Amino acid sequence: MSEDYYCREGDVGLLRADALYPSDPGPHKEGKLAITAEALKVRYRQGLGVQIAQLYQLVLPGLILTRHVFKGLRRPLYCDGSDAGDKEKLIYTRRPAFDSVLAKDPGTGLQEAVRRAAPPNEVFVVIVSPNIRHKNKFPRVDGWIEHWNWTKEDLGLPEAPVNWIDRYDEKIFTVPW
Amino acid sequence: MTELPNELKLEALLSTLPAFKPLAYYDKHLDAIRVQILDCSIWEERCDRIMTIYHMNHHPKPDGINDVVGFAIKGIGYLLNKVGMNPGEAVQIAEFLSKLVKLYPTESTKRVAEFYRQQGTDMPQSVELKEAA
Repeated sequence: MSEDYYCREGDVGLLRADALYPSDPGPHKEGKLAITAEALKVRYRQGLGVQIAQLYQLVLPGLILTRHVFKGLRRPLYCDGSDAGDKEKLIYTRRPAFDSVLAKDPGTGLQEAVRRAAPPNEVFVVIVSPNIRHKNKFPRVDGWIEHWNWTKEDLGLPEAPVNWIDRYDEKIFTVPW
Repeated sequence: MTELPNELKLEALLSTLPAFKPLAYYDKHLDAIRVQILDCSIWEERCDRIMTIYHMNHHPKPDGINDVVGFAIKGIGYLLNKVGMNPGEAVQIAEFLSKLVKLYPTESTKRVAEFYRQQGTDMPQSVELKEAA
């Protein structure tokens, strides 16, 4: 499964997934979101196995299943030399059917990723930075996968984070089912 | 697509995963300090613009208090400036939280400071801001 997401751009290994991406004009286009192999290895060295399992089982295969895309984190953020970094972030949200956690294989004793029922009343959120500064080096990457987590679901907008109006500047688009 | 190196296969990563230890690190892309005491599925409670509390998913008895497994402080560049700390140096977490509580004496800031204090000396004491996330 994870083989499908791997590619190399020059000397950099990437895990890259399909996703709808905001376009101008128009609400969205097909795009590619990526995380570097090095960013994955940082999490590995930190022992963050659940984050890694969620990356492979929820983030990469799930971005194309996104229900809403928001833009702009409402908080003071300084990123990449820009104090307007928060305005540029994209937030992909959906409600997956399952979560990914770790368990020991009873046969081998090795740790493995297993699926559990999704936490009730929660949505899965992926924060993405548009690929602006590194577009020349990575022309086939539209955005960088930065962070992912669960959070409580909004009561008024299914598959959106609670209080999304206070969290984000705007909703870019919703994919109709 | 290129063949995934064996070292990046999910099974290989998880079967050789280093033991998790409580960690604190600077997420430069989101300008946040993240503190986590358990490797588990997390749901994030956004308390306000600067504080987020991490709760454990699939907790057998979630009560919002004992299921807390970490926190994030967001807007570090801005906040260090506000509390008069040097962003070029390692951030002493206890000192930073103490100053934040004085500057923003909100319920969430106090909760985070108290959570950090309760973890004792097992917790990382400082965060290098130049570390990549």
